[in-house]
Amino acid sequence: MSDLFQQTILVSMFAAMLRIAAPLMLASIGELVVQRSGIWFLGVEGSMLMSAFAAYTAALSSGSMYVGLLAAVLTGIAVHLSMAIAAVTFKINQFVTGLGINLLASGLTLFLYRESLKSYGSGNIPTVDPFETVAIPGLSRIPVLGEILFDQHLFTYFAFLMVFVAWYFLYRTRYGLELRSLGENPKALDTKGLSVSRRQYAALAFGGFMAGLAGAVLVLALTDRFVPGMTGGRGWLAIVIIIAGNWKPVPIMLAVLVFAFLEAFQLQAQGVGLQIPYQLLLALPYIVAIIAMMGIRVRSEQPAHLGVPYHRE
Amino acid sequence: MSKSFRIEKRPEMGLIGLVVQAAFAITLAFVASALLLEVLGFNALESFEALRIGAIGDWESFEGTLIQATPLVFTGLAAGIAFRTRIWSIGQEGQLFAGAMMAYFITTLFDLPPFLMVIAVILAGALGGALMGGLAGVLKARFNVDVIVSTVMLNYIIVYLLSYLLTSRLWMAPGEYYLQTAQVPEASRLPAFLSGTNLHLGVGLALLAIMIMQFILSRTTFGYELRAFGDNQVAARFKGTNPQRMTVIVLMLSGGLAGLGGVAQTFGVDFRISQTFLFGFGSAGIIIAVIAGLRPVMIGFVALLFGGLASGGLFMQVMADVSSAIISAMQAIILIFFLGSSVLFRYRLKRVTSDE
Amino acid sequence: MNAVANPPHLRVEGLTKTFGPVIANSDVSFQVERGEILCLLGENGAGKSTLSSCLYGFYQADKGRIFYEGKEVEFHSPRDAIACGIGMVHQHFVLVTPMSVIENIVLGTHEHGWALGVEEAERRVRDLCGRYDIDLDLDAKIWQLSVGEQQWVEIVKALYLGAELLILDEPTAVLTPQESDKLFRIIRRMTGDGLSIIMISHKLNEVMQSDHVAVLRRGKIVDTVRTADVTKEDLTSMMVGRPVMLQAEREDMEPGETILEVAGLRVRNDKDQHAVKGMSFKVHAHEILGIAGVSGNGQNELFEALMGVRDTDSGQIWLHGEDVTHQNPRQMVEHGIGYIPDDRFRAGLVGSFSVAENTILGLQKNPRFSDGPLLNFRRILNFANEAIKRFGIVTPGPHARTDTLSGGNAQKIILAREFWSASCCILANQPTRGLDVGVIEYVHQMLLEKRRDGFAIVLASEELEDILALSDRIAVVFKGEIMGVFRSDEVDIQKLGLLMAGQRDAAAQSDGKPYVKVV
Repeated sequence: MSDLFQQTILVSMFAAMLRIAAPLMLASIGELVVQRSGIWFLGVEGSMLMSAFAAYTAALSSGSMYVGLLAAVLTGIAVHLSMAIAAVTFKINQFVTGLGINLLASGLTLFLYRESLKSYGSGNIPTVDPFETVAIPGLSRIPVLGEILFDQHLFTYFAFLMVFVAWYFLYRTRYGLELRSLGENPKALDTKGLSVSRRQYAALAFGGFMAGLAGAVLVLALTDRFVPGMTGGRGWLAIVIIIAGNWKPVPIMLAVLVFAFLEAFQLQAQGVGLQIPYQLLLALPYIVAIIAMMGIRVRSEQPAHLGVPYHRE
Repeated sequence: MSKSFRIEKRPEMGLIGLVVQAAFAITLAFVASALLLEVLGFNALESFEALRIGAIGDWESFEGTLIQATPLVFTGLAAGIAFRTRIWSIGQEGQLFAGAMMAYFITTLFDLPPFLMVIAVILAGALGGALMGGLAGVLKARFNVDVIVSTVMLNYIIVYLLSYLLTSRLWMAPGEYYLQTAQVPEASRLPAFLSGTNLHLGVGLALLAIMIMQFILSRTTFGYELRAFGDNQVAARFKGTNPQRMTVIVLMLSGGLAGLGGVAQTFGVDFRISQTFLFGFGSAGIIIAVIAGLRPVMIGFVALLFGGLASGGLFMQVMADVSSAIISAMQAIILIFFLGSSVLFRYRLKRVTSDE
Repeated sequence: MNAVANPPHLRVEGLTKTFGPVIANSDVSFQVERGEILCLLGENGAGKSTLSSCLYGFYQADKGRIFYEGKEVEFHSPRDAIACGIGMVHQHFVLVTPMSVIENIVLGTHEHGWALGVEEAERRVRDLCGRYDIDLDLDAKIWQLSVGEQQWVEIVKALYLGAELLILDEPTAVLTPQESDKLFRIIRRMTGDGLSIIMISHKLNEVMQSDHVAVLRRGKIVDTVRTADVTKEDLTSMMVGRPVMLQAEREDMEPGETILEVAGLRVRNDKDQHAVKGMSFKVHAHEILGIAGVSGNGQNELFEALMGVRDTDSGQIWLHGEDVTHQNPRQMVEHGIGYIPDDRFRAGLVGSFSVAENTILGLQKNPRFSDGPLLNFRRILNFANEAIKRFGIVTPGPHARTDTLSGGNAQKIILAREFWSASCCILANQPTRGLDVGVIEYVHQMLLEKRRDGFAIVLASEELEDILALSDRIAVVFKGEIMGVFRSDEVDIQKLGLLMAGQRDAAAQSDGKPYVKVV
């Protein structure tokens, strides 16, 4: 193999890695904020899936990608807020509620998708016209690095930007301090007369916005259609990523890149016809997730009140 | 003196409260599903009538319901026992696959006379599921990997393993077009449980499993320890329960039950394994366990209802052209309404007399 | 006095608060003058904490009026109370432990919009600390501080918000005698500045430091008196409603053979730091060894290690001369050790279980309660009924859910169980925490009875009075070390307090005598 060929493969693999990282990063940063507020929300997968379906349906019926995007974001927020109602207001078991949201999402989107197929006619699955990548003038012309980093979807730039926004918010602002306290000891806020539930609602709304975007990216940027179960465990990986990243934005970004790399590698390996069962490559993120969890010794930043409903005694 | 009503917290929910709440949630879920169908342009009443006929229209369809309910009983019990111990395992689906695959695997290894082969298949299924569950247990006990995470990941991994065994044609019959295993040998298939019916041995095993689990939980020292551990791990630890050991044992038990579900479905109904044949039993089992309040006998009844939905759903698809995918949506809707109504049932109205 | 010209700092009139059927406060009225310390005295469950939560806006009273400097006020949230000038120091601190002192202080203040504005806050906090002589490292994380220091963080937190009336809930529960002296010195300086204090307490020593005492019993104010006019004994009988014997009768007894021996024990806590750093002691039959110390100095880890729940790093444990280091909880129970945990609903009972089920927790495999793998419900019920009768557990019956019981009755279930199963040694960790005087007396009597029966007993308590009354010997712990062991009849409270604060040298100088007596 020539050097040039190898270089082309590597460039396209790393560019794919960043592209693939976007939805995972968006969902993870959203979930980070949610978990920092003390809510243990397992329904990211479902929220993303419903958002993806909403993006697809809305984009198709309106003909506008932006309407699809808006529909996805609103769906994500709505799903997350339903968690807020259940977990914050009514203090229903967070584990079961999150799981219920996932099950509802997979059942409902499958059913609605099958029903919508009937109207499209068999064998004729419509596609959307996906968002193009945006090359940043100048920077994208840098050899290798520019092709990898600066010819990406706007979503990708935004996802990486959000990592640093989240970091600044958490550690450099008063509301960030409050958010961190919320997951550690909500009573510390309550006894100062600050509403715990309002802040948790806000955190979940933000998480919904991010999960909605993540779902939209899957349909409107990475592919051109909705497929049942297309989130493929990304919502669950987001939860693994947060644990692996010890609830800190920058380590979370690194963990996202690891999983994105695995997926990009798998796509590339299939492309070049590597002699490994492709199922092993597909299963790799999940295997790595378990191994990563085995190796984790530090959970120092895990919010102490994570998953515990807040009651005023 | 004045009389008024006051809303106050119910001290605890008894069995009757649970049944009422479940019935309430199921009714609401049907109403919501009907609305959904109407919005999509179906006639909800006709569709549900088809559903009813498909589920309990005659003895034969009721048999279908019982058979559909069988793996659900197992996954329901599996989820129930884990949740009862506050081990949040969602690995029932993967364990069901593992059970079916392990049992299938031994049929490729040796032949035995029918009676012995069936026993071997049942034991292998339980073992496969138990190993799969035990793996999550060891990951938790030894490496502190969250059970939720490991079980979700293992669910994906086992399906890819099955996919590999099929596409590599290791488990596929020569010339087979669909991604599915060859048919299991005649000798390994579950025989009739009641003569003159279509009910296979798995149905009987499910009944037996319900009774055994109920007995273990309420009558034995192990069940006592398990309940204590489930409610208060710290106290149980102080009183001699080894949390690591308990986690592994419960997950093996839970996995073994789910594995039996895989055997019942594969060796009683499908006679071959395919990814789609076994899909969805795990999540339904979780919903069943929650709605049944994690009580074994209730799990049996709720599983029966869900079996009816599943078997009626197929009929509905044919008769009313409603995609049977509506059933998994309905199951989740039932769960959502059940959770929602738990808020209502947490409180009660009490008449109070005050002397103001 | 001219009430119009000089209204009281805070006046409460006819305050009533109920939770469902439970009346926590009924028609409570009292007032606090500017610059005075008012003590709300009452037993656990007398309604002190609910009352203070109402004053702080954390709960809303059902009925009643509150006047701040003569003006009627209504608090819908703590925010209103803070705006008014009321600050609260909770008994169980509400601090965010992984964060720094200054972060905890500025948390929830918004005068800088989004910015943290820590520098200016630090300046203001330093001023406050300087004025009252409070020594705080503002950059230290909360978990690195002793509980005494954490209390100062809470006080500064309230002052930073501009509090002029401070409510202190059981402020000395976690302090050594010297620390509590210092607290009162600073409080007096504050009252001199015109601040007022409402102090909630059930401890008579600190109550005597106040100007007025309002005694609460079953949610009602029984009486309000000038502290100078009453004695401790008067206050106790007002609080309990009957005369109380303050001292338990402890007969002289010769210690017998060594039952429990611990040598060089090192144990790690959940943060993986050493919480027990080389403790050694012996406990004999007919002997109570008191562990004196502010809580959080390794007591819990010590007990957990002795029960086999927490593994030991190094060191050894012997029971009757047999090495039982690294044994598991089940084995320790089988060796005849009984454990009374500090947090009964966390470590001693299963809330959803019936009273009967809890009376055999951990004993389910005992042949008395099971036949092989099966529970024997008849014998369990007999045992539970016996326990209910013997220990006077107030419950609708053996089938009642345990989490509906009061703390005292729950504790009696544990006593019944542990006293039945233990055969040689009782470990009691804060056994009277949160209990009524009546139950406390009962627990003390039971422990003394076991001492008479020849048990070796280890008793940890934050209440020095309890330790002094019950123990034969007292070991003072500080940061996981034993600072000294005394015979209780020779002990000097002053020295004990210094050791509890870790000040060995000061303790040695306090009387010139050697302070460590290893018995």
